[in-house]
Amino acid sequence: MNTRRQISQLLSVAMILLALPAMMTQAEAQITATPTSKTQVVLLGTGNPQPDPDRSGPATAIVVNGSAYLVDFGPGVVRRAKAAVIEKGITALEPTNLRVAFVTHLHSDHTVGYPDLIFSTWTIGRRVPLEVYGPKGIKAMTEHVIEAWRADIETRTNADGNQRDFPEGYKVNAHEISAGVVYKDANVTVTAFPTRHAMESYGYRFDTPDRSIVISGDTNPTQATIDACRGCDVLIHEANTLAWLAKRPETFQAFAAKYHTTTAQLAELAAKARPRLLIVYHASIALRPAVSPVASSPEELLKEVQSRYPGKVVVGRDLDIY
Amino acid sequence: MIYFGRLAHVHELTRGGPVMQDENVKVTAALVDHPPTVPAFGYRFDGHDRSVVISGDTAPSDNLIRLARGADVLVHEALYAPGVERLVASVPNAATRTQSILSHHTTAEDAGRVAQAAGVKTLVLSHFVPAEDPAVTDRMWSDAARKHFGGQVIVGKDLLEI
Repeated sequence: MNTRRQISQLLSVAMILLALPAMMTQAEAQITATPTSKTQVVLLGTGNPQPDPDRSGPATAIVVNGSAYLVDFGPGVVRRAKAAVIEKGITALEPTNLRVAFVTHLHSDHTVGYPDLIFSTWTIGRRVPLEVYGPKGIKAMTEHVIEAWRADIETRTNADGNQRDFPEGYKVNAHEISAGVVYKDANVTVTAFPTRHAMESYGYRFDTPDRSIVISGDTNPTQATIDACRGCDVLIHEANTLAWLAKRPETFQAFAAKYHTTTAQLAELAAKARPRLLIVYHASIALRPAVSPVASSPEELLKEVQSRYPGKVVVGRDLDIY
Repeated sequence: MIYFGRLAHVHELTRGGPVMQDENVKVTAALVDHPPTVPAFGYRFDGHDRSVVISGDTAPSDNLIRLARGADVLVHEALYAPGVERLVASVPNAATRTQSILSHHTTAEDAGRVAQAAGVKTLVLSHFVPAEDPAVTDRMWSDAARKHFGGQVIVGKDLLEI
């Protein structure tokens, strides 16, 4: 018995010793796999067309190694970016640093911050053109916005203008995309996938050194969204609550059934996409009843999803960081 | 541009004078001085009980003084020259830049002069340059405006009701 116990103890020690290098390697790997600068998702605007003072128009920032990548530029985008600098210390979102943006679709609630993004940031010191990626029509929109502010451009770049030293700063390189990899640099690879909305629309997947992030834009549930995520770290998805939809006119219910996603549908989609974290944004909610008496509360939204989906889910709020 | 017609009816102004009138208000415009942006307008709203004038962006303007004559409230843009110097210190041609900004805007002190010349009751300062300089306090803004104006001075804030 003693001999057997000794052998057993020796074996245990041997196994631990044998396992040690592997354990160390794993520990080292964990250390090296944690980059000094973690990718951050900063929700700049989680609202929809409602003029909600608590939720700015749709805009999301992916921040990697001090660089910021925007998805959509709803109303308020530049002021929210500055708020993220002051209130959250995200210096990458200093408005003059906003240089790359991706547009999910051309509806006004996702794009009326465009002149703000182009001109406000230039006026305060952005010196290089913006790079903007989006569906067909983004080039025409860009040209029209720039033409609409012609008086501003002329007076700021002439001999007396306050931006005459940086006459390139208001320019935009607009890129009309199709599905596939649309952007790649040292920090990030961005892949667009088609979604289903009232017009040509895309969702985007961001692959950074440490994370994979998928954002839906406005869409009906689609297999492409599920395929884009497939166990991704973060899925940011729109949703309307069933309670709110029931109170809406039939015409809107019909529109939403074709082009938006209900909480029940989102739960079903998330179960297939298996994100480590699901963030619901662009939802039919209000943080205060005074903003909209018919909108759902964040709690009601969360309950509708959680009662159907066991994974980790949060309701996105402006200036939340994940 | 027929397709815009349903969303907005646009009336392009080329000179000062009456702009519109309804049961609540009469609106009058005046050309102000904001080179090189021409035209630039200030607006006066005459309601049943009060008259309010908004300067827009402008250097001290005689047209604006005429427009604001006897008004209850004048909301006027304001800059603080030492703060402007700090603001542009880091950019090329700082001196020319400061001069350029001063040439088409109004200092708080001059806003006080405009308010006094127009004989308004209350001057509200707004559109501050610099906006984010903690060294320029509310007290400094209002003291500058009070140098030449005997009426009430208010330092404007978002959502302030006057």
